[in-house]
Amino acid sequence: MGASPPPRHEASRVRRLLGAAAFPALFTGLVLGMAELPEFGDPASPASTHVSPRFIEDAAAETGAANMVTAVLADYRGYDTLGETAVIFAAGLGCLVILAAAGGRPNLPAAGMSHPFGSVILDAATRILVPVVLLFAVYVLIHGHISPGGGFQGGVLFGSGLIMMRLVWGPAHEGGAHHPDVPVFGPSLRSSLMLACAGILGYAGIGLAAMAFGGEFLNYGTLPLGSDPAHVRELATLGIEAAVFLTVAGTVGVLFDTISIGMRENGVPIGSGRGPRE
Amino acid sequence: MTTYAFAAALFTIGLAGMALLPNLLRKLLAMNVMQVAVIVFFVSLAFKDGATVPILGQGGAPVAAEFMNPLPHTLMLTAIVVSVSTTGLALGLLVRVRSRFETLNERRLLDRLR
Repeated sequence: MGASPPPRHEASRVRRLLGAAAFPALFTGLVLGMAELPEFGDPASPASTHVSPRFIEDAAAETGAANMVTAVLADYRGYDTLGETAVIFAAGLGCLVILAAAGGRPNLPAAGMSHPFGSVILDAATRILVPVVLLFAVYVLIHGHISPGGGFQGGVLFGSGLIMMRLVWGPAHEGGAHHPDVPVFGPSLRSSLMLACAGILGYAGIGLAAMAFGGEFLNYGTLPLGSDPAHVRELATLGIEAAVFLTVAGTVGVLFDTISIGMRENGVPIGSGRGPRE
Repeated sequence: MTTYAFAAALFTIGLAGMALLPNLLRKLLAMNVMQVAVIVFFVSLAFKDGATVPILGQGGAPVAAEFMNPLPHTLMLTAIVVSVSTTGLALGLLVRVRSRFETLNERRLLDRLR
């Protein structure tokens, strides 16, 4: 630590002012650069005239998905989405390694906040909200073909339902300490991790199955799910979305659990904005 | 144009926050603001005058001019969830930093590392 000499602070103030002055310049530069962009909403802009007409005009006939975003996400750009799902999974694993599994401990600690902060009102509201949130998450997943939705959105919703339960009812393994009568519901950290693994494996598995039946990786047309190729692709897309759902929901659970465990075990105070020495 | 300028303003605010705020947690939140700026920018590129959301209704064969570009929406959909999980990972790292150095203040951290 040591006391820093005053001149250094003066220098750092000057540097900060100089740094702050750079940002209006950056903003001006960005806006000037954007003047060259096509007009907002221009139907003839390059972004709207190259690949996207193909997606818009052929997606429904080729993939059976009325929601073109889902068609592009799970079918045309399946590789990309596999990579994104792997990134999400890797973030969950990374957090687990950094916080909960440090020191090569054989058993994962019980997940959850150190203190559940559910009051009667929070408890009652959560009992009503959580089932609705979880059900809506599954609806968003299954309806992703024909309405806004899909695996990512549904997975995050499901994960937020899990977080809500953890926040209000406390650790999953310790009987919901604050409300002994509350049925403990929700996956443990280990189960969340397994959900995420099952998701990413299922995604790659569907891709490999397409190869096994003579197609290319993640090109679902060859899967033996029916005679209509668009319908086969629709079913495979639903499988992909379900796999993404599992990965995202599991990873959100892993992230929340590992961070709460890490804060508890590393003695980081929860609740107050400032730590004791800050 | 206004939307682009809005995205540029958000981006600048986020970058300035990352550079100027002393607390690592605030830097992380500023990074999220910057990510939102990129998302706003991409989604605004998908907009077409007179077009609707890229979900097929009951009508006949789809015409490209009637629907917005689905590609930026797809890219940003994954980007949002990826930014959620990378934020989670960064929070995990911050917990470790906080427990080891008992501060998240950048200058104090540098002092302790010296």
